[in-house]
This record gives sequence, C-alpha cells and structure tokens, in this order.
Amino acid sequence: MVLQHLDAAIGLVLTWDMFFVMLSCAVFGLFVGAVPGLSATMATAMLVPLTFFMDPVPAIAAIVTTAAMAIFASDIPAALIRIPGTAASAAYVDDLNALTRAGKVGRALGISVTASAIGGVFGSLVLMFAAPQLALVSLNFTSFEYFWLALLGLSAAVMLGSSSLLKSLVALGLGLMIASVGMDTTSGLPRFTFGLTSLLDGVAFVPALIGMFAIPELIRTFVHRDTLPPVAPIGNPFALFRGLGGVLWRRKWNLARSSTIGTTIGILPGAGSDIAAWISYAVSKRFSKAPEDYGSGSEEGLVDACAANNSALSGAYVPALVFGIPGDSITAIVIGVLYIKGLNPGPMVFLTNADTITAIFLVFLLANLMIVPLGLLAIALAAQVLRVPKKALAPLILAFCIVGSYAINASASGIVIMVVLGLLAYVMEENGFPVAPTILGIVMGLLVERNLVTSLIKSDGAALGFVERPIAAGLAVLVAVVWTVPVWLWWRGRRSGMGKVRA
Amino acid sequence: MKLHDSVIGVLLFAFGLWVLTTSLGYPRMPGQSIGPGTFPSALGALFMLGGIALTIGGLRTHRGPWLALESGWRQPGRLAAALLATAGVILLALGFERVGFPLGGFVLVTALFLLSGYRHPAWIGVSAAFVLALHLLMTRMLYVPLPAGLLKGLL
Repeated sequence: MVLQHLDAAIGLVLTWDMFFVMLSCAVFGLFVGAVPGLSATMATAMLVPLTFFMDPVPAIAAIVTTAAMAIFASDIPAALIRIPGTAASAAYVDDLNALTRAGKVGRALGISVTASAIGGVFGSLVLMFAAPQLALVSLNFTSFEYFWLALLGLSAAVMLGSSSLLKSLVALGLGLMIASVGMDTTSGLPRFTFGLTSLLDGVAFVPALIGMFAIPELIRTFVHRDTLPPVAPIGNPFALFRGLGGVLWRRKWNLARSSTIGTTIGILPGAGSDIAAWISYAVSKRFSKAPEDYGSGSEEGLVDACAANNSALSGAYVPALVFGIPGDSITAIVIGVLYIKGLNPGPMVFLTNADTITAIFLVFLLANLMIVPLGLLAIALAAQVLRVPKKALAPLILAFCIVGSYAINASASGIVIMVVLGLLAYVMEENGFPVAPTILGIVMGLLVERNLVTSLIKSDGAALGFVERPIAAGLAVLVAVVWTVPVWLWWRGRRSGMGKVRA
Repeated sequence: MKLHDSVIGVLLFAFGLWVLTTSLGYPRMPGQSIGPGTFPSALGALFMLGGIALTIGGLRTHRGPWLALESGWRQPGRLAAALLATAGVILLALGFERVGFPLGGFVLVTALFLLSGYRHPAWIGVSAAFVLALHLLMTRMLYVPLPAGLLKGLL
C-alpha cells in the first residue's frame, strides 16, 4: 500500500509549510524535553489548539515531531545534572551521568542521539509496512498477558539493581507501595491518603521522578562539597560522533534487538516508551558480557534503552491508526486530532485516505531523522551548562524542580511530593538501596495491580487461569526463567566458592 | 547519612506491619475474596520479611555505628543549605499560592547562593533575573499557572 501512494505522499510532505511546522515543533519539543518536569505528553497537549488551524498532515507532523524530540531531549538533563527530563530516560540516567562524570559526555549524548534516531526510524518502518498485521496480535492481549508483561518489567528491576537482591526487592516494593497510594481503581476506596484530598489521585509521577533524582544530587552538592567529582566539559560538541560509528557497529545486534522490543512494547496499549526503555535495558544487561558496568556508564545499556524508547513511540501509533486504541497518552491525543481532521482511525482509513496515511508515515521517518542535526544543536547549547560550577547551579536547578513539580497538576502538593520522595531517595542511596527499581515500581504499580485484580476476578481466584492462554503461558515461562536463572547462577557460584575453600 | 542495616531492618519491619494492618482493614469487593487491600497487604508482608532479613544480615555481618554522618552534615552552613533545600521548600509549598513563585523563589535561591559561599551582590541579581525569567517563561509561553502571590499587581 505504502509504495503505491508514495508519490502523492511525498507531494504532501515536501512543502515549505511542512518544513516550517516540523522545525518549529522540533525546537519546541527539544526545549520541553530538556526541562525536567515538562513531559512530552504535556508538550503535545499544548499543541492541540494550534492543530485546529492546520491541514491533517502538518497537524500530525507537529505532534509526532514534538514528541520524538522531547523524548530524546530528556536525555540532556539526565546526562548533565542527573535529572531525567521524562520517565523514558529514568532507566539509564545513571549511565548517562556516569559517562558525563568520566568526561565522556559527548560520547554519552552522541550514543543517545543516534540510537534514538535509529530506533525511531526502525519503529517508523515497522509502522509503515506491518501496522495492520501487528495490531491484530496486540488485540489478543488480555489482563492475563498484561499482568505477566508487567511482572516481566518488574523482574527487570531486580536485574537493574547493582546492589543486593534483597535491597533491590525492598526498593521495588517501596515503588509499588507509592503507586498504591490514592483511590483504588477497581473499588474506588481511598488508600493510604491520610485524609488528604490531594493524594486521592495518587502520588503524581513527575514530581516523584524529579524528587528522587534531583533532591539527592542537590543535597550531596550542598553537604558533600569536598567529595564531589569534577565534571569535564564538552570541548567540541560537534565531535560527538568521533568513534561513535565503531560503537554502533559493534552494537548492531543490540540496536536491532532493542528496536524490536521497543516497537513491540509500544504497540501494546498502555505500555509506552518508558516501560520499553526499562525492559530493553534489563534485557541488555541480562545478555551483556559486562553486566557490572550497567548503572555506572554502560555504553551498551545506553544504546539499547535509547533505541527502545524512540522505537516505542512509533510503535504506539500502530493500534492508534488501525483500531483507534491509544498505545500511550500521546497517541490518545493524536486519536483526538485524527477524528477532528476527519481521519477516523480504523482499518478503512488505510483505503479511504491512503495518500494522507502514507504521508503521515513519511513524517515519522523525517521526524526521527531530524533528531540527529537538531539534537546535536541542542547538546551544543546545553553543554554550556557544564561551564558553571555545580555548586552555583544547584539553587537554580532547585527553582526549576519546584516549577516542574508544580506544573504537572498546577498544585503545590507536587512540590511536597518532590521533597519527601527526594529525601527518601537520598537515604536509600546513602544506604545501598538502588532508586531505579523504586521508580520502575511507581511507573508500573498501577498496571500490575489492576491486571492482577482483574485477572483474579476473571479466573475466580484460580491460579491456572493465569497460564491457560498461549501468550500468557509464554510470558509466564519467560518470567520464571528471569527469576530462576540468577538464583541458579548465584547458587552455582556459591557452590564453586565453597568447593575452592574446601580444596 | 548511613544507618546500620539492622536499624533499617527494624524500621522496615514496623512499616510493613503498619501497611499490613491498614490493608487488612480495607473491605473486600462484594462476592470476592479479594479487595483493595489485597495487593498492599502482600507488599506489607514483603516489607516485614525484608525487615527481618535485613536485621539478621546486619547483625551478622555489619559492625559499625547505628548512625554515621559525613563531616559535611556537621558544618552549620552546609546543614542550613540542605535544610533550606528540603524543609524550606516544603514551607514554601505550603504558602505557595499566597507568597507566589517570584518572591518565594527569589528568597530561596538567594539564600542558597549565600549559604553556598556566593556572597557577591551580583548573585542577588542573578537570582532575581533567573526567577523572573523562569516565571515569565512558564506563565506567558507555556501557560503554567504559577502563582504570582504577593507580586500579583506587579507581574
């Protein structure tokens, strides 16, 4: 279908109006993504009123370009000040920041920008050529499959933690506990809210994310001034690609694997680029020859997670276009815009508006390719931040964090959440509890609990119901493997260690 | 700020016990053996088990003080900066609508500059310019309704 309508689609895309719209939205997306607390979803929501005055293709192009740029740009503050701009960067924020501290900020962001572009292009190609077929598979997912998928994601948390298994599990539990706060989605009962109405909607994720990454860094900056490692500035930002080709060529299978994982997860409704990045990072660590580097500057982990989050963004459009089912919050907004523009999502849209749909596919490709030059420019500008001493930057970062935490719900409760969870994260990190599993628990808590309860109701409490369906059984086996292999390896290592002692 | 593992274990156990008892108090769904307390009660039990394991592990392997503070915490200026960045921000949040971001943010950032050793008057200018620029950017360009508070008439 795509090739038949390519000529007409190119005519719709290659216009000056489109160029202007995509460029403006790219700059806007880069800015929003780079500011901690402002999310890609927020940026796309802000664009909706503007799309009323645009033709269908530029309207969708505006949203796609903004979202793609924002997801990439969130890596910039993650690398420079260890505050992820969006949840999608949270999985590998420690690697980005560790590389920055080691004087490799250029390499870190270079990997981020190119892997994001490659993952995004891969996801776009899948969207172009296999959308209807893939969407059919995703429709077979019920609460049982989602439960196992969520459990697989949570299992990733244990693998992500570089500290003890017990401390990683406790950290994950704390994240799930934080996600339990608020009105229960099944029964509507308020839980752990202490009578506060501001907690009825739960603990807002963005303030939690900002607090758990920013506040510990700020406390360390204010208190442990003498022991802070110096940050090496970027000498020549345009030398980001030096040696990058070799890294990416060596990691070609990682790129392919993580782009596939990202696209697949993106296609599933309710699972977005953040979950894709976490799972892809965990899979990468599981199969890596140097798993000990993960969390302390692993280029391999970065390649995997960066490619996955942008490919997931494209994948989320598969169910959105084919069935009108949103893959994530951004596609939910896009579906609304599609309806406004008379492009009602569904199988028929591929026949009745084939030229426009093909043009939208091309927009995906262009938006992801634009990440490289514009991302480079954003990195060059942001790199100037490193010239300012961290001690002088800290009060300004705190002001940004306050604004970012307030902005998401226009409520001061977000600021309190940021500080309280930030203090918790500081105490956790100081005592060897990894923060990453807690963040993952907060991200996936609702998904895992809702699908567990729904599945239990459906199966009338019978455990067998969780493995009766083939995809659910396959995912259950995968979860079992993920849990048993590390335990088996630990047990084997312990036995061989004891053998050596005896010898 | 390092706590002995066994201290963390005891705190975790107590937290788990509170979560478990609170969750068990939630009503079940009509006609079901599960309810809104099912998932959190499992988490409470996990915390209690984790607390026991941490306490035993801490007592077995980890000798050291119950609480160890790095030298930075004992320096009044640094302690004040950390308190201002946490407790001070919570206080600001409680009066955010009344005081507003421009004034509250300016006082906070200026005080943190002073406590961090940046005492030149130029830093007051940096603080004022940054907070004002951030406020205008958020309210005028991104339509984030940051409260102007006491400076409402001016901004």
